[in-house]
Order: sequence, then structure tokens, then C-alpha cells
Amino acid sequence: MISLENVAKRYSGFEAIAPVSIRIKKGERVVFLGPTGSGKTTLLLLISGQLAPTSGHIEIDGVALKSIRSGRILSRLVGMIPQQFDLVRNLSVLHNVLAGRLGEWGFFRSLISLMFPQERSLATDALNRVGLSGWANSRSGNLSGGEQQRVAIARVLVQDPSVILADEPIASLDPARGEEILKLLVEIAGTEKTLIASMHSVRLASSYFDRLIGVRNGAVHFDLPTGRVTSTMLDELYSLEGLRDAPQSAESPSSPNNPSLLDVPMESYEN
Amino acid sequence: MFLWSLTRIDWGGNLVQAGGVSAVGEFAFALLRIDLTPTVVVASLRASWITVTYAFAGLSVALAIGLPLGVIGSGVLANNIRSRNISVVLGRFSLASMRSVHELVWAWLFVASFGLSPIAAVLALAIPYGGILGRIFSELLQDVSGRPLRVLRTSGASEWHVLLYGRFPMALPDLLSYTFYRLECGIRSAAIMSFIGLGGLGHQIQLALDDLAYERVWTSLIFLIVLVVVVDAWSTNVRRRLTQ
Repeated sequence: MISLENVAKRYSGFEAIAPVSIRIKKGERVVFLGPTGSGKTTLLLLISGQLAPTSGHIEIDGVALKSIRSGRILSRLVGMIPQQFDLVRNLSVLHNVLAGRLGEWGFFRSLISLMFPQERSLATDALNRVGLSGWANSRSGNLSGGEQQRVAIARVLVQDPSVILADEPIASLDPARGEEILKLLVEIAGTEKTLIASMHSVRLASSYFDRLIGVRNGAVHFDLPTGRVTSTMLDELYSLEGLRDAPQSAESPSSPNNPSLLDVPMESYEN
Repeated sequence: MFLWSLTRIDWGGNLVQAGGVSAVGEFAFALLRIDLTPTVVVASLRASWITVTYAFAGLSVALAIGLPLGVIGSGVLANNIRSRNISVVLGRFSLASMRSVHELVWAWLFVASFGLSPIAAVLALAIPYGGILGRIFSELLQDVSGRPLRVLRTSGASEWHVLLYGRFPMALPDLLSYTFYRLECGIRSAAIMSFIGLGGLGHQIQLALDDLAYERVWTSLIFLIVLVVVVDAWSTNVRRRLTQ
């Protein structure tokens, strides 16, 4: 269960997110839909703990995000597949996937793993599930966009959080591959994990998700089960009239005035 | 600034000393008569080996000093601004004090305390080179692009993990190519260091110069150039394998 209560986010005077309240039940598949700069990514970053809200309260499974001081605890609650996948290009696919286990590993185990990969079977299983069996030893930077996206999904699989966030998971893929990735995301989320994605494609969002939340100018425009969203609502959501010009920085995850848990590195609790 | 500094130098009355031009000419012509007799070549090979081992040993110790101090000087392991500043100041200060003294001065100091021993040569190289490597490493580790690091943190990675799985691998090609570049410089420095009697190519050059045997000076110089070219090719090769 995820709950956002009157959550607002401001960046140097710009209101990226007006106070919003959203509740998402365990196992739900939710899409944040809306024009570029509407605040979809900011919402995901807030839920992932990468950004701290200016005001309001966020809870996941009854734990207040601002009370979490350990990356390990946060990593069990929520995992994120970022828009650009952001793999470490010079590391092998295997190590990028195993990075999902870093929250559980101490320093020495992680160090040893670079030479003698630990929990290899976990990573191999995850790679099989995302259709990348046999790629474990390839250099991640040599993979195509779609393949890198799959590696990012495999990493979240081994991380095994209860909430999976995917920021524009299909934005940089061709339609056929995009649909494959969505199928995969829905499949790995199953009924146990909550899946929240931000997307542009209304058609794909409607086919794979239960609930659509329209976000416009940093506020919730509608929040309905997929079947009840009408084309008039969508036209209003994407209407250029009255649409604000969001500054570029609005989607950037770090702001010196609002340090979040992840902006300020935390102590390692396992060493 | 540079031009101004040129005008401030006291160049003295005559720039080239008497007979200087003919000495340079003689030296240049000696290249045509380069001495490749087996005894000279074997001696140069042996001297190259000594120079290379000094350079490698010096660089290895320099890496052992520069890497940890570079990490401290980058402040990337600190978990708040205050400890980051302390880490950066301490790291950078020790690195700066090591590299502000030239290797020849260190060599002179160590020869005075250890005598003419290989330890003196290795330490004299390792300390300033450790300071230089550490300084560059700290900047390379700081400059690693933030986004993949942030993703690692969302997977629960601590700053130590981020260093191992993000910063090091991402900065590795640059770290390596700078280390190789320093190895080249190390070979040159090790050769110079042998002028003070530690053996190696520099010592061969000095002996040949004492005899005014320019053709033998060239033999040693050619070996020095070959060493640097080989290290350069090696560096390119390693870097290419890493990034492809």
C-alpha cells in the first residue's frame, strides 16, 4: 500500500507538484499519464525516495519514507527502472544485475563478487526471465536500448522490492519492443508487487494497466480505473491550452535546497 | 602572463656558449654513426631492464599510495558535507605535499639516508608520483556522471558500494590511461635518476657523455624512445579492450 498525503514539491519557486493525495493498493498496476513536464517523473522520484517532498507525507507499506535512514530498507520497499536505464556501461551485464543485491551485501562480499560473482544463480534466473540468457558476460555498454532496458528490469528482479517504478519504460523503444517490455513488467510484477509506470501512450497504458492517473500541471487531473477514462478526459489532459511551461530542472532529481535520502549519501549499515 | 615571464628572465649576454653550435652538430651527426656493436647493445638492454624495473616498482608503490589517498581526497565516501570537506582537505593536502617535491630531490634525500640502493630510487619515484596519481584519481572519481550512481543507491548501495560498482568501473578507462601515461613519465624519470649512480639508461648516457662518445649516447636514447613507444602502444591496447 502506497499513500501520498498532500504531497507537494517545489523547485526554487516552481511548483512541480501541487499538493496531491493518492492511495495505491498492493498489487495494483497504475500509470501516470500526462504531457511532458506535467510532473510524472517527479511523482515517481518522490515515491522512490530519491526526492524529498517540500511538504506532505509519503508511506509505503506503513513505513514513512522520511523516517528511512538505510538504503537497505528502502531497497526492499521500492525499486526503480529509470528512463535512461542508467547502467554502469563498463561493467558486465551480470554485475549490473547483481547490483540489485548491493543493499543486502556488505563491503567485502561486494568486493569479492566483482571477481567471483556471488548469488550468480539469482542473476542468471533473472536474465532468463527477461530473455537475456547467455548475455551475462557481455559489456553492458555494448547492448542495444531494448536490451539495456531488460538488464535494468533484471536488476529490479534480483532487488525484489514490493513496489516497482518504471519511468517511461517504452519511450526509447520501437512499438513492438515497447509492448514486449510492458508485458514483461506486468508479468514480473505479478499479483504480489505494485507496478507504477509513467507513460505517454494511452493505448498501451489501457491494455496493460488497471488504473490511469492523469497528471497535468503538477496536479491529479483524473484518477480512474482504465475502462472509465473517456476520450474527452484525455483531450483535456493533453490540451495545450493552459498548459504550463515546465523548467527543465523540474524533472531533475537533485536540488540543493531539498536534499533527499539519496542525495546525501548515507552511512553503510552493513560494514 | 607567459610572454611577460619571458621578458623577466635574465638571458645573459651570449645565449649559446662558445663552440656550442659545433657540439650540437657533432651530436646530431653521431646519430648516423650510432653504435650498435653487440657489447653496447647488450649493455643498453641491461640498462633498459633496470630502468623499466625501477619505473614499474616505483609506479606500483605510487598506485598503492595514490589510490587510497585519491579516494580520500575525492571525498566520495563521506556521508555529509562536513566529513566530505575534512576528507578532501586531508587527502589533497597530503597529496600536494608529496608531489610538490621533485623526484630528484626525493632521490637525493633517500640516497643520503639509504645510500645508493634500489629502495632509494623506487621511493623517490613512488612518493611524488603517488601524489600526482592521487590528485588526478580524486578528480576522475568525483567527475563520474551522477545518474547511474543514483540508481545504484536506489538498489540499497552504500557509498562504498557506489565506489566499487559505479565510480571505479566508470572512471576505469581514464584512470588506466593516466596511470600508463605516468608509467611513461616514470621510465623517463627512472632514467634521469640513474644519473645519480643508481644504474640504468641514464647511467649509460652519462658514461658515454663522459667519453664524448655521442654514438653510444644515441644507442641509449633510442632504447629510451622505444620503451616509451611500447608503453604507449600497450596503454592504447588495454584501453581499447576495456571500452569495446
